[in-house]
Amino acid sequence: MGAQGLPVGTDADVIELSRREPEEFAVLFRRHAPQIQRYVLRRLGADAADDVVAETFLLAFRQRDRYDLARVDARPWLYGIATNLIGRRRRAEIRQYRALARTGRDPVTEPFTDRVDDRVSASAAGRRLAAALARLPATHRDTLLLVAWGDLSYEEVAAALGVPVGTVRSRLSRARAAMRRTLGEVTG
Amino acid sequence: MNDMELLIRLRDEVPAGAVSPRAEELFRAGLTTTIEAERAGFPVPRNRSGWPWALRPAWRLAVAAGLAVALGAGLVLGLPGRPSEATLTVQLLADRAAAAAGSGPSLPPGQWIYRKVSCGNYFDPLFWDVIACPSGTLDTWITADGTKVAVVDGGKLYVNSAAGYFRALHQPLWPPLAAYAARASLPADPGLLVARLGGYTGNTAADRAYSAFWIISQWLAFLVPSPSLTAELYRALADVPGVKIDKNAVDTAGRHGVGFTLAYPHEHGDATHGWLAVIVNPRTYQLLGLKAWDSTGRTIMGPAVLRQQPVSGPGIRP
Repeated sequence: MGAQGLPVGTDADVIELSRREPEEFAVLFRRHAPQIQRYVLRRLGADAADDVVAETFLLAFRQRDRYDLARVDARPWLYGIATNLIGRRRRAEIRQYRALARTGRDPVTEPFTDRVDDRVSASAAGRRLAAALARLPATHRDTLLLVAWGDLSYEEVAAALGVPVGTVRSRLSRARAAMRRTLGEVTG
Repeated sequence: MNDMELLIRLRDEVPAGAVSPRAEELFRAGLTTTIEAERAGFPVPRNRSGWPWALRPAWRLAVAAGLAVALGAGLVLGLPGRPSEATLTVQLLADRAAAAAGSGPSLPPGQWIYRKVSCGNYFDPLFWDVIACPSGTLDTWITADGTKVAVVDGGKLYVNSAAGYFRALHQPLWPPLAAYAARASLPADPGLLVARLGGYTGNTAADRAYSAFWIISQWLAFLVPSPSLTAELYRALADVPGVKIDKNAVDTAGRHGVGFTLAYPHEHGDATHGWLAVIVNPRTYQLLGLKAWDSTGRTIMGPAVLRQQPVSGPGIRP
């Protein structure tokens, strides 16, 4: 056991072990659910996040036999599953970006702070960012937010979305260009 | 500050740290169900949700023990436990039941399922002319798509088309079965689903609410909706106007559970005439059964699902 009481081993080790001892898959939940939850929360808000996080790991569990054990870090795989599930709630996600863009009040962050006036979400830039996110094609938004909020590298985003790295680069380039156009004079 | 830096700061008020207790609970319940299903040898499709009932209690205990060992040291996850009753709401119970229903494997349409149901105080609508119930329970079989049913009566196995059974008896088709035929076209949105199901038999608002509740209860108790539909049905229960939680529900087999309850109107008016409950296990959120009682507290009917498990054919018991 490691210093934090968690079994020592890579994600791939845990997944391989869970094929024989399925309860061990809970280690993966313990290890990555907090980060996945924050990512889902930022995209969908608190109401949907719990369901999506739980479903992400349950789907991953059912797909563990197909996991490529050469990939020692399971984060891209998990973020990919979570992103697919978020896609099923795309209308709700966009509705909240539009609400932020329109009113300056963000339904996603309101439960976490009573002091939003000095935050980017309430700023002109935040509102314009939200408007830009709402307008982006879903694949571009997924790519952009996996980098910005999921903290994944281009290669990891490619693995998460099942596309070539070159596609990630081009999507990201277009998404950022669209954001910059929307932000206009606010950036600099 | 460039566009990417601004984006990274957007919504950074969302806290990092521990995962929410509810997400843990949903995951834990789903993992338990799925592991049990795997060990039972049921097919587990990649992207479908689950089979809620066909699990032996002994496996539940084994899985619980395994989880205790696996998760004991330092892990946040714990053994399955009772829901936090102080915070249990209709919506939360519906979400939990939906998660449990949607977390396991589904079955092919023609798969036969054995069902052992208590029959002391009701008649199964799919076998309503069967009166032999010597042990207080009835062994029945139904295919996963609900098109074929079978029952042993007087030592003889009868296999019927579900709809043909009613035709053969010159009876009108049981309304929930008729509605079930159109299930593929049902809306997934819980509110829309309630509105659609409420339109089958309801005239007044109370009738429509009860119609939706009744059809959902009958599907859950007598048919075998797919895992995804079962999950949608539980979510819809939370959207039926007037539904309440009974934290101390007891099914007709004496098992304690948590119930979705709705007062049902008198057939000739809107006065409350009694209650109907859909009772689920408080730990696994899987269906225990239905129970209806009148204003005096007398139980009118109450099928309790004692066992439900896929088998190789009609007449085969696990």
